[in-house]
Amino acid sequence: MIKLSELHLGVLTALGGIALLLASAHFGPLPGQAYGAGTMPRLIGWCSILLGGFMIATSLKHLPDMLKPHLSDWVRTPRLALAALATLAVIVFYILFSETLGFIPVSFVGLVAMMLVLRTRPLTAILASAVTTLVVYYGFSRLLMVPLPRSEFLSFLG
Amino acid sequence: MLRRTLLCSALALASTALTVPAMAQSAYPERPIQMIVPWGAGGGTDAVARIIGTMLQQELGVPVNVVNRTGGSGVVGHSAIATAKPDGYTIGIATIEIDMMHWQGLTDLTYKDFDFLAMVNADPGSVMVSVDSPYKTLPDLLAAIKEKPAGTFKASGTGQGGIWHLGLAGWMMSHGLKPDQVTWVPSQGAAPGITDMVAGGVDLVPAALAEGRSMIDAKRVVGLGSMSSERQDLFPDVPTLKESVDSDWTLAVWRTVAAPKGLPEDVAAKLGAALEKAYNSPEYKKFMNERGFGMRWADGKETTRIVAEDDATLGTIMKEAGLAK
Amino acid sequence: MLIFEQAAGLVFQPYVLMVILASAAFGMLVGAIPGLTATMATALLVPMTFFMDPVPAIAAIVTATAMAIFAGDIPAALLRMPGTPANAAYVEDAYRMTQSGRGDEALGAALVFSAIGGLFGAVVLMTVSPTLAEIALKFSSEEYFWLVLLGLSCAVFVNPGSPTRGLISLLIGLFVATIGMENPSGEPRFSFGNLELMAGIQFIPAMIGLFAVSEVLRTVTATSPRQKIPRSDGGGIFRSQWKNLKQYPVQTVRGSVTGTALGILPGAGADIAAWISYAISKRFSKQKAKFGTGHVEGLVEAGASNNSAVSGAWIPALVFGIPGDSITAIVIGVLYIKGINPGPTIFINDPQTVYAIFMVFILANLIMLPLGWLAIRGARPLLSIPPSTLMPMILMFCIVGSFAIANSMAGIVMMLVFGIIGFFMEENDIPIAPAILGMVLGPMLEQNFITSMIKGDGSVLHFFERPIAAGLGVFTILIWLFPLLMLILRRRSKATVAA
Repeated sequence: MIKLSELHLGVLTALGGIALLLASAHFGPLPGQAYGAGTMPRLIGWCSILLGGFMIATSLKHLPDMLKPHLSDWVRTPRLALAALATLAVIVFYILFSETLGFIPVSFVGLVAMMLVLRTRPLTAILASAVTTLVVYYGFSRLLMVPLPRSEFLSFLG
Repeated sequence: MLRRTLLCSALALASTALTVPAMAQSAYPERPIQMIVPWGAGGGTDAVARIIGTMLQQELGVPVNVVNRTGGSGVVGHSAIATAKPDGYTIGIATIEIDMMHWQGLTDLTYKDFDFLAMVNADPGSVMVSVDSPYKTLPDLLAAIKEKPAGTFKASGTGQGGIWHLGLAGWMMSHGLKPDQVTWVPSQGAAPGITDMVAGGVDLVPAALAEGRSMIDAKRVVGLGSMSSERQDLFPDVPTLKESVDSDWTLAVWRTVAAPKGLPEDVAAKLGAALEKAYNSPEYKKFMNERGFGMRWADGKETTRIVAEDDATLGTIMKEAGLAK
Repeated sequence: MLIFEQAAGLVFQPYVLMVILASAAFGMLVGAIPGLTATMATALLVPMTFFMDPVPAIAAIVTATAMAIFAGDIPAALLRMPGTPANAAYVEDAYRMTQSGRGDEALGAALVFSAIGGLFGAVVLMTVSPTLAEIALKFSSEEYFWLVLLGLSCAVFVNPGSPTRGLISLLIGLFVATIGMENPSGEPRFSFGNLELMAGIQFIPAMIGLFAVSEVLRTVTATSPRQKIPRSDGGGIFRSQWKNLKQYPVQTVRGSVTGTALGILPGAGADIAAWISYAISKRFSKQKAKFGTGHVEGLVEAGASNNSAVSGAWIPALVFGIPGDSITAIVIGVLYIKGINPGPTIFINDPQTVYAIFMVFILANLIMLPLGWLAIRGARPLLSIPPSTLMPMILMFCIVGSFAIANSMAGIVMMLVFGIIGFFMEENDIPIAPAILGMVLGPMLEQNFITSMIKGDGSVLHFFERPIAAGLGVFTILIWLFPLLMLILRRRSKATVAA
């Protein structure tokens, strides 16, 4: 994605710490105690601010090169950017559709699609996806009792 | 030829698909049943669920898969049971926390979102101390708690606002003491609490005697009193609070088998009957005795009544102890 | 001697040996799949043990769990997917070794030193259980607090690169662990009313995301296609281990001792043992810089450590019925069902059963060698699949593994989020290991700090009131101050030289 300098990371860390302090401001202590739900988040928040401050201070010496973030190489190569997107898309696709369609079709389609994007030959892709899908399905749902989403319309498969 | 076979099977498939809903009632159960446990693998509720699941499987003739949906102090698992389709293929174990978490403002879910099928176990709370404790009887301990300033004594056994925390608060209130007369030290369950008590970290643990059983047998922990109306069969030496310090406080944690609200009546009847058979089987009885869990049976209607009653009691205590939102 | 004969008679029966073999294969399978834990293997075995005699029932569980912890190293080395948190400590070294064609050596080391650690733990279990359990009983939250702080200082050592980026990673891990309501005050934090977040970030999906999904992303976006992994010369699984043993005898013993000691403590366990051992190994190594780049030394020590911790956890379980981890919690239940009541009397009432359990421990760790060898050989073809086909398959395994841990879609969402975070972190040279350490230790730190404070009515001195706590506390503070002292001394001497 993006490569950040020590300065950027320092600013982000410090901001994260401040956000954490604000977000944990409303946690009250345990009854009769000085400590409670807020203790740990506040501690992490203060540490982040200190660390961020230290990073900013040490990177000020090299200021000019620290200002501009660099893009990773793959972002500029359409094929690789597509591969990254496909990876994430397969997961999102599974999250959205596996409950309604069931594991078998969603896994198969997702696998084939991603393999094609990565330039596996179509026949290999279909075979490998089918084998993976069935092995995972039967292994997990039968042997290991993991309730993978069922496909009602494929109920003859079990 | 191949084509025709395919066509035939497709037609057969389609017709089964169409007739399934109509047949569902008469043929229940025709596929595996999922039993959701809101607590982790290895705990007491998990163990009870797995033995009940095994027995149900024998009664109903379909696999009963126990599925742990943990987290959020039971909120996640209980919600998963309540929001499932009420078709009898998703049931679960509902525990006493269902009567607590809505008072704590964690969820809107209450016992009213469930159809209870049966109560299969109940374990009364107790008062346990380490064998090194200077207090050998309940009256001694209570006198010391009353005499010393509030907060001198520490107790543990569940998280903040957990069931045994309430058990302790309720007991204190029954003697006219403040609910926080004994300071609560949150722990991740009864076993870590008991271990900490033996290590000298806290003074007492008000959890179920079953949970301290191995340490009681090892002569490291002593049960001083039981929060029940009668002595427990498995621990006949431990007196009730009533006989020991004349407190009317009783509290038992229970485990029920529950389904999402709206279960068809015939399915509920079939499951209820299968559960009763499972409960009365020698295997279940043996299992519960060996583990030290209390046997307690109630059918669906009776269970609903008990659950509703506890909901009111616990609500009152939580409000007075400042643990309700 | 009679007892030993009786015990042997209980164990060396065709039926019992069959059970051991079958559960070994089962444990190997479950452990090798990320998202399925040794605990889950045990829970799945329990209904089957209802119908067995005590010895085969316990044998099934002992064998399956010992296998599962080792098997977690297989996906760790081959796919960078640690099977359990205990395997995450040295995943980087194992994976880098595989990438440079030394996969057989890496997995062989994991296998052999797991077995050695397991055997060591078993021997300790057989000889001095009662005494050690007595000591473990004295640990309360104050002692654990110091122990956790000691564990956190490991972050300094496990961190391979820039110290500031290692600290960022640690803070991310600590923060992630605060999400949800599983904290001492039971108050939901940063959950925005979301039910699944209220339950907290699920550890395994987060770990799969940080390590495996980010690795998939990294592979598919690599500008120069990854070099083909050189084939390991076959049969090297065991060959190099003799050399490793001769080269790292101290590491082996140290890892086994540390692991057993931490395993005995009910509040610690295999996860923390692996991390501490890895850190110790690096701290005292002559080749510190090689750690994290595919160096076998840390793997030897931490691999021995996590398996000996599994054996160690049985000591308080047998002697006092105190569960050291979720596995022994299940085991105690099974013992009761079988009419064997754990406690000091178990050694008097049921000595033959106890010795039979000990024998099973030894058998299980020995049978691990051939079975592990088969599993490693069986998994090897995975590496010859080209990445364009393998990566999608790994991704599907990640998805199913993240789902399986709690059977919830939320696990997959968390995996996705952490996959992106992990990818971003690695692109910016922020190491992942400290974040995992933070997630493991954060909740323990908080729990033990808050409860100790409640017990001590808010007094900091309370952390030093108990003798063991005071000792641990002073030790921890010295470790933290030591580098500082060294720095000051060095400055001084420099100053004098300059003057």
